[in-house]
Amino acid sequence: MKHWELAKKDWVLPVTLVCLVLGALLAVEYRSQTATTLPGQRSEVLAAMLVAERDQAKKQQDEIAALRQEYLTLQTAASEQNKVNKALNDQLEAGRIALGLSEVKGPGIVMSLDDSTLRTEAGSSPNAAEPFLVHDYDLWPVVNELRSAGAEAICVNDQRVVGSTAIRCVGPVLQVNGVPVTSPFEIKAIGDPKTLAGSLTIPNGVIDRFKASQFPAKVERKDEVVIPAIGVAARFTHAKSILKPEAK
Amino acid sequence: MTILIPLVALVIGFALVYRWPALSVPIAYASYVSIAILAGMDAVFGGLRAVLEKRFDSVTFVSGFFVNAVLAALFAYTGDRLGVNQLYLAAVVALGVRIFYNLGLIRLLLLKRMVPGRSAAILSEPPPA
Repeated sequence: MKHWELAKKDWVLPVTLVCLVLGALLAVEYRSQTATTLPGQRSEVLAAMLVAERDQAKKQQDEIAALRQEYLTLQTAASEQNKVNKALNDQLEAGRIALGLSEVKGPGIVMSLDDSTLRTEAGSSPNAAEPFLVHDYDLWPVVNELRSAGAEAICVNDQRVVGSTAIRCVGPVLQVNGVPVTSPFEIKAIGDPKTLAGSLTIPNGVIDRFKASQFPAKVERKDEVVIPAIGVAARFTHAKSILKPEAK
Repeated sequence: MTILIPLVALVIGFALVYRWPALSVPIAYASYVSIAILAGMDAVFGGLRAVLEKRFDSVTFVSGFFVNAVLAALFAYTGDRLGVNQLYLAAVVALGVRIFYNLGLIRLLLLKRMVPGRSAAILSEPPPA
């Protein structure tokens, strides 16, 4: 047995331990495999298994039918829910238009307005030209009249006029929504064209007053006016809604 | 006949777990265990060959057994997750080739021991990297 007396004996313990683990792994695998494969049993055992499986399949088919029925019930309920969704969507759409969040189109009017054709005498100071230029206070009544005539969307030189819009002069320039705009001005409004135009052209109305000061101003009715969305939407950091407790 | 000690341990390990029915893996993971077993067998035969070549190192052997088993199982698992279900075949082929190569070498080394004057034969096929 000299040949088997290997030089290093210290291999026995590690190999033994590893073989123990390997045997355990083999047992685990053998268990799992035999659990899955169909046992090579006699036909009556297999027949019993077949009957059991059929019962199981029948039960599962019944369950499918029950679940389908439930699905149908839920779907009917969901379509009723859709009516609520539609109301919410309508509200959302109204809010979007009011806040100027979307581009809108519809019938309306386009009003043009330019600085006065009157000119100052040569050599007079720059301040002398002031009365002949369009100011913020010239635009306020226009917007005001349009709103009172039921305009649903208004813009001045493509700047949407919404609740948070300020129209004001900052030095020599006029700003709408904080964006500088210059003459000639084009004010667009969506609403009933006849009412809107009438609100501006009534005797002694805004148009008449512009004309009296030699400001070229005119109103055109349009079948379709496109008004762009607001550039920067209003942010509400201070104002919080006060909600009445819901009556249930 | 020291070789009998590990063989007995193999049987004992098998018997211990087999008597314990709770110890089984879900069917879904059975294939990974079989790959791990293959890697383990590869490590054991590699270790026996090292013994015969008188270059056995117990740390290399034990770490090789466990790490290779886990890596092989992970390899097959990764293949399944990647949708390459046949990736385990790569492990089976690689490990199978190595096992047979090592078995062949063990046989030749034993023959060399038992038949005096026999030169150290080398298998024609090199082991896969």
